[in-house]
Amino acid sequence: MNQGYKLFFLFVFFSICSYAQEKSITGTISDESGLPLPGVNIIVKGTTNGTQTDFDGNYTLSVNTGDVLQISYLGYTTLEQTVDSNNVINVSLEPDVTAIDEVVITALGIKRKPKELAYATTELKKETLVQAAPVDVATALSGKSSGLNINTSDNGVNPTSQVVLRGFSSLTGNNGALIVVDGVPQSQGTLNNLNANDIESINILKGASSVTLYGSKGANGAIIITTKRGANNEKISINFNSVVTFEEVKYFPETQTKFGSGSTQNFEYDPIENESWGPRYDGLPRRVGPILADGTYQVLPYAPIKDNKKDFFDTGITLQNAISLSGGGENSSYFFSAQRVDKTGVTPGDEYVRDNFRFNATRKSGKFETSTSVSFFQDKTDVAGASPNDGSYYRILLNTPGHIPISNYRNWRTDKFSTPDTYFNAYFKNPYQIIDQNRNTARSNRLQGIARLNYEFNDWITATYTLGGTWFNSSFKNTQEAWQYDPSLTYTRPSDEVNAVQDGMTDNFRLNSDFLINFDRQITEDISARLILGNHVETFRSKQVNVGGNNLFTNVIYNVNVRTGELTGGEGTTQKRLYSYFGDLTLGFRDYLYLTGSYRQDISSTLPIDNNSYGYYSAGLSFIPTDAFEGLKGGILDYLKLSASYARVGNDAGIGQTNENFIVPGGFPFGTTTGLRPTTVAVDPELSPEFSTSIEGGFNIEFFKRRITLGANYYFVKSEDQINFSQASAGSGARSYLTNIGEIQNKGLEIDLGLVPLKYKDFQWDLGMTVTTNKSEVISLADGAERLQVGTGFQNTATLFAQVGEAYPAIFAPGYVRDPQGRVVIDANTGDPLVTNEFINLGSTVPDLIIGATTKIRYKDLTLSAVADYKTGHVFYNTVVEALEFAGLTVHSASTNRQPFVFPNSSYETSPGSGVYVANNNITTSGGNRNFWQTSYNNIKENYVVDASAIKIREIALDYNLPSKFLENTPIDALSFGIVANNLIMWRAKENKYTDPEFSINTGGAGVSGIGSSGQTPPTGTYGFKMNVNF
Amino acid sequence: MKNIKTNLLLLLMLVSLASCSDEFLDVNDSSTNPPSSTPELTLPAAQKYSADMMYNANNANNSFNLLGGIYAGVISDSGDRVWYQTEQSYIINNDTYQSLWNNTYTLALYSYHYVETYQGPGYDYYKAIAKIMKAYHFAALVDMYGDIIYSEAFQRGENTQPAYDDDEAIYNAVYEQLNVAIDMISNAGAGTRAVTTDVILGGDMNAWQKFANTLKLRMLLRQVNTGEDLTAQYNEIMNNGIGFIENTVSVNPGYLDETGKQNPFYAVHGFAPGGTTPGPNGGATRGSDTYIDFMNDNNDPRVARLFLPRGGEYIGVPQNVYDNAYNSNLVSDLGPGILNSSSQDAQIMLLSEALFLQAEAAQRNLITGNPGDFYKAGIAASFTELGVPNAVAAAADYESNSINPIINWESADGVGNEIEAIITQKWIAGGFISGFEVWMDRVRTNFPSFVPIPVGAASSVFPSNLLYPTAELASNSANVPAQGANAAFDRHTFWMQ
Repeated sequence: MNQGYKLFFLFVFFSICSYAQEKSITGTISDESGLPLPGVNIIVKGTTNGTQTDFDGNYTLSVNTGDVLQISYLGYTTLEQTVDSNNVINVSLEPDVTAIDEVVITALGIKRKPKELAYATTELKKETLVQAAPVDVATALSGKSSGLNINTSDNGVNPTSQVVLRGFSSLTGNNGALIVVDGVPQSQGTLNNLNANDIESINILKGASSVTLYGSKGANGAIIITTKRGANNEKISINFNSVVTFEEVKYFPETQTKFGSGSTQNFEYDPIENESWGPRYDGLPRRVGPILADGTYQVLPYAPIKDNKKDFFDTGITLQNAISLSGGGENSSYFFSAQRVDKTGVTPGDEYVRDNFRFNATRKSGKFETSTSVSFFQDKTDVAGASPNDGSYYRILLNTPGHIPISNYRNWRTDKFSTPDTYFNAYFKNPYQIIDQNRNTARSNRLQGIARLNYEFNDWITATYTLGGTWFNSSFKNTQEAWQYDPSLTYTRPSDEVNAVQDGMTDNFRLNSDFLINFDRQITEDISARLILGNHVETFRSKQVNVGGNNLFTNVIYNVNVRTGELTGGEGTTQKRLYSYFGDLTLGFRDYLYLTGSYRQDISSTLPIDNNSYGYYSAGLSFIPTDAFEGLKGGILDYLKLSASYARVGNDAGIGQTNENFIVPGGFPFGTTTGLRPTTVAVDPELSPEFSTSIEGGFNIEFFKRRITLGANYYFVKSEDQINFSQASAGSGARSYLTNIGEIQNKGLEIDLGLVPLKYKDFQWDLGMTVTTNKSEVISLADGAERLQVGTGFQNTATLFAQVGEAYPAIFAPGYVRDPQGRVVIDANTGDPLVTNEFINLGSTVPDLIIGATTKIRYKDLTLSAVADYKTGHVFYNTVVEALEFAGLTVHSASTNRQPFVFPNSSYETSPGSGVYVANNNITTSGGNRNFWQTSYNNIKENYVVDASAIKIREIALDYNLPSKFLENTPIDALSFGIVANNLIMWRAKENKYTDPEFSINTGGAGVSGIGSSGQTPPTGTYGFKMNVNF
Repeated sequence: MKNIKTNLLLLLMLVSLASCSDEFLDVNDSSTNPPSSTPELTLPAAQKYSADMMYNANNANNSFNLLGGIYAGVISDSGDRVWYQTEQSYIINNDTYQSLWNNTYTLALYSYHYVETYQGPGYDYYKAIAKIMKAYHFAALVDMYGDIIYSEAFQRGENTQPAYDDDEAIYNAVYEQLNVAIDMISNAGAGTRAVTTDVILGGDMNAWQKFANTLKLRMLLRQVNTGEDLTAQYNEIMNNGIGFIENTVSVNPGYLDETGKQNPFYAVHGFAPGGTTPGPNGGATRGSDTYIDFMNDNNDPRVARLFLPRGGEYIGVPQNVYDNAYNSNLVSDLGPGILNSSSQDAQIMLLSEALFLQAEAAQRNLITGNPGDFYKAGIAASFTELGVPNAVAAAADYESNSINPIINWESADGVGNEIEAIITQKWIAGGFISGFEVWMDRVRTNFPSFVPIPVGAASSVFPSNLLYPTAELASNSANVPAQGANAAFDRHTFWMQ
């Protein structure tokens, strides 16, 4: 790689030398009020010679007298200026308020003017995306657009996240937004491994209306990513970008600091116990751990150590280095980029490496234009796995009593009191041993090629053909090293473990072919028409192979070849094919009234053959009064657009879902005994496509030359006849029944507000605010069914359900029995609160209000930007509290000093069934120690479902751009330095003492979230430095 | 020239579209799982699930026998493991062990139902076995829940919300199905295929008839407190010439010392493959002090087969007491009589149970025979089942030397303790093996009388039933009968009343 960079620079310097010109001019470009404009493009007409203004609006350019300068800037009228004898050319640009001539890239790469759009979109520019140097694109979207809800579900070195637009609507299908890169749909994971520096813009299409042309997959909205391209007639430009960030554990779960080791009711001290139900800390020296065979033992002060568990973690370091090269000639352009990300995690030993390469090129010859995009991604992950007996190291770490200096036990193979045979804990392993002996490694890579051919038959007929192929493969190897305890030990030790290995590969291929013919014609002076007719074909094939050996006779190598016993594993191949025809018509009247309509017919392989063809459509209307009525515009109001749209989108079933097959049960074959059982999934032979209907309406308004911009949009989405695994009574012989059922409604408001409160020559303050509300309701499920389980539950103690009449999804768990006054009902005999027999609804896990705020303050060459968001109206259940409760470490378990107490706000029934409740003022709980908290209290999972509201400062970035005057005699065009910080500050609801409420294990399947696990490490924040150089 | 090329491209695309036929779309079939089966293939799968329901119904260690063993006061957990605290505290909600219902219906019963209703000639023996095993599971579900789904069961997508039937009516219908199965075997035609894949009784159809007849006896005795006159049924099972089982009925598809292929009891309460790493409940599952002390106090040599000595003694754990004194390394581990190897049989009816059933029925004058002889034979069978050396002689010594009036038959007979003696012996013989039967006997007879209610239990009476599962409430709410808060303790199955 280093060699590669050197070659690049060499190449760059040669290119620069070849541009020596006759004379050098300078100048300042300003706006209509005399304020300097940074980033204005200045090009010598007809050449590739050009530059951009710096942050003070200044530029320097070598030209010949008589050259024509083309000066262009987004939102301003392009100006041409001939070079005369003057060496200073100052220009002031006029804003182009009549037509914001930018185009928005919509479905299938179709460019449309914002005026035409009858639906809500948000466009994010590259600067906004990369301001805080994100490693993955998903986190860079948070807070920046309305309608968007992003959950990062884990905090490891290679996190996964989920992007949801306008709430959850699918019960068991996919709820994630469609990810499209350069016109070709991708898997959701793509967002996590794109090089963010490659992105030119992201357009967020929030609702189905905008993406009817993507068909089924666009039903949840789409994130349209356009990567950078070289511009025609652009000189070669090289960008080098380097970032280093440091990651630290934040918001570690709070624990009690009053009581130490013990596991009985009677405050007995137990030196080898991981639970903390022992005597009160007294600071006196006590034995910790067993008495070793040689008679020695550890003695430690019996006092809590601040941050003893947090000290387990390291500071993670992330290095990002990226280079890009772009340019173009008269008829061609190119863009090349490379990026490497090197990461070490907060968990000791966790590592991640990622490489991205991209080459985009276009060439035009006459009426024929080709563009090619090739990108390659690879990554390598090496993270701690779980112990087969003890589970995740984090859970074990959380269990550790407060007086154990856990980070002293790092050298688990050699240190006297840290080895498995000598470690203090009799029941669970040293977490350092777990992370060292259990490793999960994975590699994946993706090669994508997109070829686009464009042919202009004449000035109003164009044909475009796009072929996109994505080859993705990944492999993993999970290894587990054996440990055998010394059998002569007389004290209790955890279980022996054996050597084992799991190996697997996934290989998939996705091919998309799109053919479009575009007719675009001004029919009369007043009426314009555009008709797009197209065909889409897609194929997808995936193959997975896994093998494993549950017991290996050596740990020198980890391979199924050195196993004892049988080989485990399997293979599976799935395929999908779909083709469609579609049409889209846009009629424009005098540039201020647009009517659009589209229709698409899909034929899919995943549906029963009689029902496999289905059509759907959308229609929209947009009206721009400021253009229709001349008098409206000017002075205060610049622009007003009103829009409304309707869309209906069909969706097919999942691959292979319609098959009722026989399954080889677990364990079979037993030698020669073979077996097959019927599947527990019944399938409706009449299964038909599902549909969602959405209606939206809104306006966009701009005041004071775009100093105030406001977009507001209301949406209503109805998803019905969902292809769905309705729960079947087990008595039917099946557990679930795949059929068309139910209806879910989502409605909400999306507001995007942009303000420029202050704007002076040296100082500008930009402020943005987004508001998203979402209200979902399950209208109906299968006949007679009141609720449907979705996603994974946690050990049968808390489960997500769709419940008729409630928000979707909702978390259900055993709760308190309450009397009519809302008091907690206790058992009069024991004093303990009663637990409901049935699971009760404890709230929705999806926020009903998200507010995002962005701000940018520029003073001369210094820019400070920040992004924050607030989510509320939802709850979550993170099972770290379960681990803490078990271990006697929750703060509340020490709140009564482990003594029986009168349960707050409680009552009891005078006699069973009397229905008469009396306030409880004197009956104390059965205990205040282990039995009470670990069982009686722990059974009421309502205790652990907490408010998930949080305010997060997601990004803070401070940038300094070196003024161009310092760079005049260097090959450098621009140089900037910056400080970045991500997720450093979070305010949580008071009752959430545990973790980041966004962490969730439920990312697969329906993608519903709300239950987290102790397999996920604590939240982290990052801070660091960045540098950017342009040649 | 260029136009020609472009036109060629368009043509190519049109051709590719034309090929988008049904064949193009025919890629949705599974490449992993076959679309059809046969009784030969599905019977062993169903039988393996039968064993799983009794010993590990959901791969999370819930089972009929574990729950029964706990509620019968036999199974406990060590003081430093909190495995069965919920069970021992008698905390029962709709989620408690719900996989017993769900998986019995969908994995065991529906697989048998597939065999029973298979369209194809010559499968009468397979179908008879399926009927007998369906009866075995349905009876247990009625015992556990009361009214359940029966007549509308197994219609899958055609009826995902089947109605519930009256428990007594189901018991009678199932009983009748056992008669049908016995007749099918007796009257099987010449073309009937021999059963080649039976992993319970190896295709011995005579033995299947005896098993069916013994199940009938079990079901009749369950109803002993109902006041129903079942004389005709007792007479029929005695006079039909079939007899009762002569050996323990067990499942063994060929259990191996491999992950997922072990005997389910051994896998849960014993060891992982290799025999050294404890299974998921291995460090936890222990005998209760009541159970072990009763054997200690009565010189019962079975204690040394059921448990391992700790410091020369057999030490149990009081239920629901979590104390350092009962840490796993201070109390008795499970012994070789129940934890033998990964490939041990999974019992679904002990011979000793069959003999004790006959003893009880004879003692109650419901069948002919000498109850004392059956009783003593039952003890001998239990000694044999647990591998006591010189089992028959040791059993005779144990019984005859005992002065305890609920062990020594003559003493028991003298004071009218016969039924208590029989049920207490069933409790010892089956406590760890067929815990569900032991629990149901305790519900029916309140014997053994000396089993205490665990400290800190949520109820002062031991449970009699489970509640309808959450999955049923969610999927079949229109039909699930309403249950009161006390339904797990109210002895609501018809024969309990």
